[in-house]
Amino acid sequence: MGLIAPLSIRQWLQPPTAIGRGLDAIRRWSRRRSSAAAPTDPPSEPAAPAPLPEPPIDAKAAPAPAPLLDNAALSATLQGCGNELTGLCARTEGDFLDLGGRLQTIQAEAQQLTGTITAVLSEEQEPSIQGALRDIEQHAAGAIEEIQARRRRLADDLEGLAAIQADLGALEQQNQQFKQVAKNLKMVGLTISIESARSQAASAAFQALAEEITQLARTVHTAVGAIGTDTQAARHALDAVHADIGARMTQLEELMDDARTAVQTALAQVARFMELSMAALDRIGDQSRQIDRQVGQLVVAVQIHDNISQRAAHIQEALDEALEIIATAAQVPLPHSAQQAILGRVYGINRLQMAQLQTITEDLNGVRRQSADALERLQSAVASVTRAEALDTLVIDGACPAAGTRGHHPVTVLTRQLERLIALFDEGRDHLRRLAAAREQTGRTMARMNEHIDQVRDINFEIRLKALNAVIRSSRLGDAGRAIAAIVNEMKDLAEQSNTTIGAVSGIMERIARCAGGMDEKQDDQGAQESAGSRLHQGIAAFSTACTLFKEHSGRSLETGLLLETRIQESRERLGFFDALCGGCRDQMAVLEAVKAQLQPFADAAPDDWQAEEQRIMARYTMDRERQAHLGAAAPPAAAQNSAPTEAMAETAADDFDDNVELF
Amino acid sequence: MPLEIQTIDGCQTVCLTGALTVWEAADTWCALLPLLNSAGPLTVDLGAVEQCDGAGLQIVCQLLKAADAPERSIALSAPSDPLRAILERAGITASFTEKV
Repeated sequence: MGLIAPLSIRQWLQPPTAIGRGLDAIRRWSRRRSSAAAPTDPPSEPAAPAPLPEPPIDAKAAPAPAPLLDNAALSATLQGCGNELTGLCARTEGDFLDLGGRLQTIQAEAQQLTGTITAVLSEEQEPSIQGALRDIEQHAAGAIEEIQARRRRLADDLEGLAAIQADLGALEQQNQQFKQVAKNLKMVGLTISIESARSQAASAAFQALAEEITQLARTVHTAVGAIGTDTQAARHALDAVHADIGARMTQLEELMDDARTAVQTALAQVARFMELSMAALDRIGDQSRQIDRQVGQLVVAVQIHDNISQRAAHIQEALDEALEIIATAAQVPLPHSAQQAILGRVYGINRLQMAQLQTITEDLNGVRRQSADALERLQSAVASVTRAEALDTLVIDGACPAAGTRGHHPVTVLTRQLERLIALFDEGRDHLRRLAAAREQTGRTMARMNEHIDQVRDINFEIRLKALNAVIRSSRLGDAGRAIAAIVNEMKDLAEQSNTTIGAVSGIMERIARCAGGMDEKQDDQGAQESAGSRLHQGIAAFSTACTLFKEHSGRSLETGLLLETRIQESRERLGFFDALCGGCRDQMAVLEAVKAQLQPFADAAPDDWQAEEQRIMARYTMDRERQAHLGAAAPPAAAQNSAPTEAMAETAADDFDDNVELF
Repeated sequence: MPLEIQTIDGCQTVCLTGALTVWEAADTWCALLPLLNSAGPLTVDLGAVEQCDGAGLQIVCQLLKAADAPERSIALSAPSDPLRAILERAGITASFTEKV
């Protein structure tokens, strides 16, 4: 922060006063003129106009010579020029203030925008899109593995189911044996009844047995019928499940392969998309930092108003000094050569102010250009932030992806594929549940069948007992009892046959129970494996939340950015006052140029005077820029005069502003 | 198997209807046995037998045997077609025809 040095223009005009300095100049001029007659004078001197005849020193004695120029008009021109320059600066102060205010607002909003963007970029927010996506990737891999495991288990279970079905088929076969046993038993009862009808004694001994056997045969038949019904029902149920699931298995396998490939592809696409998006967001981050820098530069640049105002004031003061010199000269009758010297000094002052005005114009143009460029870059940066595809395209509601073109968005595709995966997951679970239900039903059937088998087993035992008693009773009947004894033996054979069948059936039922038990154990693992599905669900939910969060943040960024863009555009449109200011400076430059042309002959006639005047002025500059302008005017480097200030120069200029003016 | 018993002028007629298989044979036999042991004339109508197996055949044989007894007056009516087929398969059609 610099303040204008207290030794400013005002000091220029203090000791010596303008009049005093004017007289000093005249005296120096006189000394030079008197020594001009000496032979040591340089030969180049005659470039000046031909010296006028030396006027007498006593001015009172001779009439005042006519002025070489219309001094009044010259004074008016210079005065008007100075006034116009300071007036221009004063008139544009409001514009500068307005621009500065706007830039402050822009800076505040840009900071808000960059803050929001930083929040969007931050991985620390919970849940972050990247984090949620990583979770999904992990859970999807877990879900795929689990689906495959389920498919394997389903296939195993289906094989088990097929074994149970086969066993049930065998059971039905065995049941036919039971049926035959029941039939034969009935026949035995009938035969005993018939044979016992031959005699009163036989009838008394065996009629009851015949009825009991008939009754037992009926019971066996009923049990066998129940077993048959249960077996058939279980078979039909398992057939239906097996047919359904078996038919779906092949399809399911293809679907799972498809889903796995699709999910992996979608994950890869989303990862690529995220990579691009994150790179884009990084660029947005860079742009947002660039916004900060641009705004900072702009704020510094608009400080030029104070700078040029002071420089314009200096110009006016210098021109005022020239006016004083002219006025002083008009008060004292001077010889022609003295008048030439005074006008030469005015020329020197004018020439320097032209150089100063030229630098002001260049600086203004530079700041104008720099501001316009900076605002354009700023607007572009803000647009790239707010219109960035990364901000817009990530706005996907994971739970409810929009239709249309968004349907092809990698995130939507992934969500769809994950939902498909979950559907397959659920379908696999449903199949397993159906299998479990079928297994439970088979278990219940087996329990009922066991009861029937036990009943048949009891009957067999009873038949054997009855057969034993019948053999004893038949032996008492003698010949008449031999036929009955043969039938009773048949009863024993039937009981044996039935027992054999029971053994076979029991074996089958044990196999079925073992198979169902094996499926049971696998079902016990279900709980642990369910977690993969729920984790996938949670992952998708977290992803959806992260997307929503991102949507909110990016929506805010979008709003802030659009508002900022409007403000920047307005500021750009307001830069027109720079053109008016530069135009005014150029007009005054033309005025000074005309004055310079008028004074050129007198400067040529007395070059030492105006050059000495310039050197004297040089010592009083407080601003580097003014000093440089002066040096440039004294020995103008061709390139530096016309070239536009570079950005580096602008930055140094920005630093110089700090050294010379109070900050905006 | 339902048994329909009719008594007309002191003569009993038993009509066997439906199936005469192992599942009905015992009951049928138990119902027929008192009638076969009774003294009066008895006619067994077999025209409505719809089904017959070995057990039924055994009862038919018992009927034939009872009809053969000289002290009894038991007659058998014409068998139904299913019963006739079984009798033919068993080779006892001739014996049966003699009693009809």
